[in-house]
Amino acid sequence: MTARHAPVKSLAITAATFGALISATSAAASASAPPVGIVDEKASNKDLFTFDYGVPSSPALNLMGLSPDKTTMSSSLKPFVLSLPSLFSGGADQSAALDIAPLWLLGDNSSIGYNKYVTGPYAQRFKYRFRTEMALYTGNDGGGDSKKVKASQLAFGFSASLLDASDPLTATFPGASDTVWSSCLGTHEDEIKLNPSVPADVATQLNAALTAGDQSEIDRLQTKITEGKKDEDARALKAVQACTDEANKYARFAPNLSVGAGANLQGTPGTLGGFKTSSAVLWLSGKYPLGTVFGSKQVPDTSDGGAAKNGGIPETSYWMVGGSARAGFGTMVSTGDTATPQIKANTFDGWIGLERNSSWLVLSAQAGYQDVSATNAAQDTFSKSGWRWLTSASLKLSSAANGIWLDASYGSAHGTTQTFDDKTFMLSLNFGPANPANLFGENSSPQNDNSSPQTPQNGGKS
Amino acid sequence: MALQFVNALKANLSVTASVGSLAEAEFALQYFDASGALKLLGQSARAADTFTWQIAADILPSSGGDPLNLLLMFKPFILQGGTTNLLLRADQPPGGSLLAVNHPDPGNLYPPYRVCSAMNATTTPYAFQIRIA
Repeated sequence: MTARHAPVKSLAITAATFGALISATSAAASASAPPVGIVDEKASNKDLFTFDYGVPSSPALNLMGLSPDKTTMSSSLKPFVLSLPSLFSGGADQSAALDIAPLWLLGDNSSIGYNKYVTGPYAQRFKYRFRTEMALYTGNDGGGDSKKVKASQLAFGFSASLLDASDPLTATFPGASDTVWSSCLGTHEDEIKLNPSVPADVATQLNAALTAGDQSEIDRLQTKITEGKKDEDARALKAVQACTDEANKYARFAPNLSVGAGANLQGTPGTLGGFKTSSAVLWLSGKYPLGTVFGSKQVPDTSDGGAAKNGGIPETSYWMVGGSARAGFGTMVSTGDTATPQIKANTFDGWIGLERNSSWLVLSAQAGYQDVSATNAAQDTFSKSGWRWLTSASLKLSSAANGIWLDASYGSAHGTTQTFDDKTFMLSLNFGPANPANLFGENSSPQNDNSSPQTPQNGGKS
Repeated sequence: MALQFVNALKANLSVTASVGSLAEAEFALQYFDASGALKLLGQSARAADTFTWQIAADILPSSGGDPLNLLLMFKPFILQGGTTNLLLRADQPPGGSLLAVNHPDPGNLYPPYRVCSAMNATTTPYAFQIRIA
């Protein structure tokens, strides 16, 4: 351990910790109880142990350093999302972004029904999953303060999910040809079936209104027919929602391969224009389930039956392996040096990970390689490269539904410069459902199975 | 005159409905017979995205120019990203003309035009009238 590492807080459970443990346990293992740290050796540079999986949902915004959270991005199957400030005056620090599925903008969507989407050529589905983004940032001229000067930016990007397996519209049960969606609807056919019956008096009135050309009366009677089927429709909607969840679940745990690219131009600070300095980034990510067994199914089963067998916690068990690579060209990189705070460099960041998730044990192992090569030979002293790895485990210590978990993680980084040498070690007790490392996206964990990601885009983000 | 033409050729009138993009639905088309009773012309199987009915000539009104009142019902099922617009087209025999009386712009009806939209899994009726003049 080097001097810059935070000291190990405690290697023993203190009285206070023990008290917290008892308190949390007696509170029926409330999920709201905070974790109790036993060992907490934080890394000096926590970014070294952050392994981002997947292609950004918006490569353009990512390149500009703007969080996609600030913009509501479209799912891959929605037409577009335009994000603008309330008044885009071109003033300082304003941004705008446009996210488009080009096929929606340019294609004839009326002829692409679900069946044609599923049975049609792969190229058609790829086009639907292909998205482009454009983002603008005005920057800031600083108003005389050089520290506040920020270049204006113009960024373009695209991303696409390549595999049908991770598309909820086309995801299938393992070894099956029928899609999860269609199969599920078939299972619920009784609940969703259209009932065309109309009360006799309403039919008589409707016939008269049609003959008379009384549009307002036609509208009223149509509404009345719909309202009369409210209960049937509510039952159908519940079944459809269940099928949506099912299709999304199978898509999340399916193989995925995503690509993305982006280019960023920097221009005059505070004014859109003068764009010249540019950088570009390529992303590639993929994941593959190595097999999960629950009953006869080869995927995580979070059905009620599984939950009932495990005290209410969804029974899950799967292995997932994956990786991600990001190559940057002409990227501005912070050096940590006051005299030369940034350099222009070509960068590479590669990462592979393995995850095991079950109802009582969550394991993960990640390893990555980073390389930064200054484009200017005179700044080569800032070039660097290094390896980093991180392992983590969560072990369930109790059998209660929201029981006690022992969480541990250990990671190390080594490289050609001191900034790449680091270490982290965490050991804690967690009261409530496990919060696994979840390497392949925030929604890839069955513990989060109630969430319904709405896009087949971006691997684990799907 | 035109109706006689239809009958003479035993031509059928076809009505096609589709539910929009990346969606599927169940469709049912009913017609009002001469007595005003509602009768089922046909209902799609589950998970169709397009369905076409052939309306036999003998169902059409016996007097030239008289309308045939129809009730189309659909119930869309959308996974994600799909649309629920019901698109309708009616292919008439040569020389005939069709009119959907409850469309706001009857002069611009087909081919296909959007007639209504619905929430997911909501049974939505669309009453309309066709006339072969």
